[in-house]
Amino acid sequence: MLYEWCKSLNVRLLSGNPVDSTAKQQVRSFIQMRTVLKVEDNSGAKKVMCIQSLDGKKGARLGGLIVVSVKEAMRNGKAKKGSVHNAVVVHAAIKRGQCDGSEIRFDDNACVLLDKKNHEPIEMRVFGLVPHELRKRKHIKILTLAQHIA
Amino acid sequence: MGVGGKSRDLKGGKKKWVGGRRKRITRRLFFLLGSEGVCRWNRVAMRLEKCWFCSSTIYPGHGIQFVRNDARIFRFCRSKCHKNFKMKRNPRKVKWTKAYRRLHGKDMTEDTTFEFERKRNRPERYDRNLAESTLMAIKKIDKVRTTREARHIEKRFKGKKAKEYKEAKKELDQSISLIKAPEELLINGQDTVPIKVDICQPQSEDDNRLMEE
Repeated sequence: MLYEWCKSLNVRLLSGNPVDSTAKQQVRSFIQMRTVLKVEDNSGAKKVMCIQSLDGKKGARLGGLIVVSVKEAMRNGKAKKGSVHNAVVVHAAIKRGQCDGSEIRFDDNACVLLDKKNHEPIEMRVFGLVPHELRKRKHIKILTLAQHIA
Repeated sequence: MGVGGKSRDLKGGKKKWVGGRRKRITRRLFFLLGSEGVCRWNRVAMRLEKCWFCSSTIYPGHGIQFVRNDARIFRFCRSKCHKNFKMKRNPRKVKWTKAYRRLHGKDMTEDTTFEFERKRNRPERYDRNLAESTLMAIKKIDKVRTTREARHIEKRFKGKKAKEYKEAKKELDQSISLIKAPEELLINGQDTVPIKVDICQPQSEDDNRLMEE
């Protein structure tokens, strides 16, 4: 029986179609615990790790709120290594439906650090492009600070 | 779209939102729609973009946007184009794209009618008369464009017929010896040219008849 099973497995392995190049690509998941994100502001933090999603059970998507712990930081920045902050996801590799039904997808995962009390950005500069979905979540300040809006 | 009734509930002069789920929803609605009753985030981008791969028009609600690391936005009209992009295909080398067709002279490229379709970043102030005349003009311009395109295609096909005829004639000139021996031609003492024509025409008619049968 074991032999038969092995045989069938072998046959299946041999007869399997060559994997398509598009199918090979990694399936992007939600921003969840232990996801490492870039920081797109001048708070001094370079890399942060998501330690909790404030959005839902599955995790956060584009525009979602998360709690992060700073893993890499510049010495003279506001955010120190090891400190915990709230953050909003401004780039997400998982695609997200826009209000008109189309979808948007980014190359990487990135966030902007927020103040815990009033959910305003802790520093006064936001680099790069942010999606206009942040308007839904009342992050008007980030939108005004951003260089470009998608 | 508008907000029914008061969405702001003030109690005893306190500027604070109060209330349960229903009020939370109305509050959210108020935020989304704003005081003018216009959907705030819909106002941002309601324009017809062009697909990065096939250059077709992307209507609102269609396709996918991809934002690269350097903040460049790639818009795709459908998953077909998105997949081709992911496979790193060059749209200039893929035959069904507009880029290929333009590059290889298949489509009309230079025309004054294309200048109407341009990206304008300054919003136009609404004018009823202007809008009306624009709507009238759209039909007319579209008609002009289609006729010009048809003419372009006709022109493009025209050369081919002459070319085919020339090639056929050349082949006949060169390989007439397969049908008739060169000696026979010499014995007859005739010039080769009229004979060729004589042979050519009945043969082609025969061929046609065979094809019909």
